[in-house]
Amino acid sequence: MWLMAALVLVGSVWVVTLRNLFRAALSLGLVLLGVAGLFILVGAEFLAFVQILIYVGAILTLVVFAVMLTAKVQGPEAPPPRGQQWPAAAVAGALFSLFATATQWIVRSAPAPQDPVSLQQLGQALTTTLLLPFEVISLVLVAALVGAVAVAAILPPEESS
Amino acid sequence: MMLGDDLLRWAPELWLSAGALLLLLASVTTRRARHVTSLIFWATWCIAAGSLWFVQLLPHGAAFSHLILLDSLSSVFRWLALGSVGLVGLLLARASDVDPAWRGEALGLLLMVGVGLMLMAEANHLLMAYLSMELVSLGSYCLVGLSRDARSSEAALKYFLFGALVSGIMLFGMSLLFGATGTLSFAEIWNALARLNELSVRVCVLAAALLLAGLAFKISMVPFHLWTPDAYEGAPIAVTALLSVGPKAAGLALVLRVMVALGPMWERLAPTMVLLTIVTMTLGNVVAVSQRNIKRMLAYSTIAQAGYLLIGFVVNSNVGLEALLVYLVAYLFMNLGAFACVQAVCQEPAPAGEEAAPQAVGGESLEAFRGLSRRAPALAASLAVFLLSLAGLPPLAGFIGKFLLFGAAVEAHHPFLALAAVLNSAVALAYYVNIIRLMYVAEAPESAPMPVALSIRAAVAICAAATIGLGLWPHLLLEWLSHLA
Repeated sequence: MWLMAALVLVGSVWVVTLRNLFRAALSLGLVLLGVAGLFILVGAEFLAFVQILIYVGAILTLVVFAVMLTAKVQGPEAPPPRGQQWPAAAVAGALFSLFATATQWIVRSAPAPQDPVSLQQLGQALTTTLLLPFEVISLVLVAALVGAVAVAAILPPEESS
Repeated sequence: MMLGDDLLRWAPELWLSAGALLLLLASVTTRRARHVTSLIFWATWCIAAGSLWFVQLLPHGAAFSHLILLDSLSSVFRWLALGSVGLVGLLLARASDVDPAWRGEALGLLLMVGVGLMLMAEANHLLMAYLSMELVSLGSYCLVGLSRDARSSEAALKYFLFGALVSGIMLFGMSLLFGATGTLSFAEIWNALARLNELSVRVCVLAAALLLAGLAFKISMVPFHLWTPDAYEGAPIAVTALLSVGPKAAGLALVLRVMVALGPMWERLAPTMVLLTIVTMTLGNVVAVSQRNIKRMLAYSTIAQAGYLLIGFVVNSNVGLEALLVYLVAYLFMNLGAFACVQAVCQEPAPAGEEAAPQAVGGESLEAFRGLSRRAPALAASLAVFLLSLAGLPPLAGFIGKFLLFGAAVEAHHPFLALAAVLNSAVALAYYVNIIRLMYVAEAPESAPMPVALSIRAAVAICAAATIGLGLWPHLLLEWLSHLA
């Protein structure tokens, strides 16, 4: 458990500090794998499986592709603004301590472990009680996909002419 | 309850979704045929309006395993969403700042945003609340970016990054709430919160604050208003008009729903909410005075208006709720009307035979309004009506709404709130009247009469008629609202 947590922490520090975007993307993969490991340790196998399949398998691949295709855009001439890092770190630390203290109660008085939700129950819920959100998600995705294509296809006047 | 019954009562949303998908498909095959896409849009809108009229007669109550709630409150907000989608559709039909090749997609996304707005007002479950907000947000990010202007993509990106951050914050709040109460349904959350002990209440206050932060982003309430001026300035004017009305109304509806669930927490959250309400309206009005770009000015004006609307919410009473609904209906017409006039002025087509960029003639600075009364008297008069109504002068619709809101504040023993609102109205009058002064007193740079497109004329006429009509005969609106309740 502690090992996995350390993996996630180290990976996430790398994601934000590494200057090479490609390495940062790979560290993101490390973080996602670590989270999947944590899911397995708390007994949520299905969630861990989905996490690896979708995040590590699909989303990370997309991120890496995006980084490789836009390699020309980012370069040494555009370094990240250094001055904002410490205030940002301070705000993040303050937020973390706030959340950590506030959630102590949940951690201490953890309810008795319940039976994990089986895949069958999950599938049945998706087609009965959770039918509406399931369909609305498809609308959300269509809107996002079509909109993203439209925004990307519209070129500023100077480039289109 | 049978699924068929639920689907019947949810028919307006189904029609809108089907129309949106059909529109997206049609605009792929008929890229430049504007008439086909407009025809599908208006057919969908009319069918949805008809079915919404019909479903009012059906019994109210929860639907889809208590995931959504179809009651009188959601009924009002469904009409508001449909009304704003229709009026924005009128504006979008003649918008020269939306890439013509993508107008079909714009109309389709608009319908989807409409579905999201309705769902926000119906949500009875945190999952539905989140999904409907994402539907509205993703649709609006894309709509903001649909202009060829370089500012448009910047605005869309800013709006998207800010929105994604706030979504994350809100999800964290929801997960805390779920961890503390063990449920996502609003009614069960209320039950669980009512029997929490002192320690766990602290978690829930934090969770509620994070959740409200996400909603504050939608209604552009301070301190989550930072995206508003940039997104409004960069977006096509018709989309700005939509953003200023639709998500605000639906966001308020969702705040009302969420606060029903968080009822036991209200005592702890109320002082902060009252303070933020006062800050929101003051900041919006004070900054609006110094703006020279009409879209930025109206952006800050809508932040201030959000502050007034929040009064109806923070007083936490039935009178406040009724005042909020009245002001929302008035706000829909007067704000969309003002944006319709702005679109007519800023996108004045270039005189025939001259080559000019779409925005070279009008421009978005306040100077474009110089001497408008001599070039387009009807348009100037309507804009004056809308601005005076936004400022809250009798006998217009805005006055009735503000009067009820301020009355609710006094009745709920919030004299400071009422005082701040009255002072703010005085400040707001300064910048609203400034535009009217430019239109009527200042000399026009040119004297040729300004042509106004038919669809914009229709939108302005509808809004003006509603603004004056609701001001003169407010009892019609009040009766309709009480009939629903």
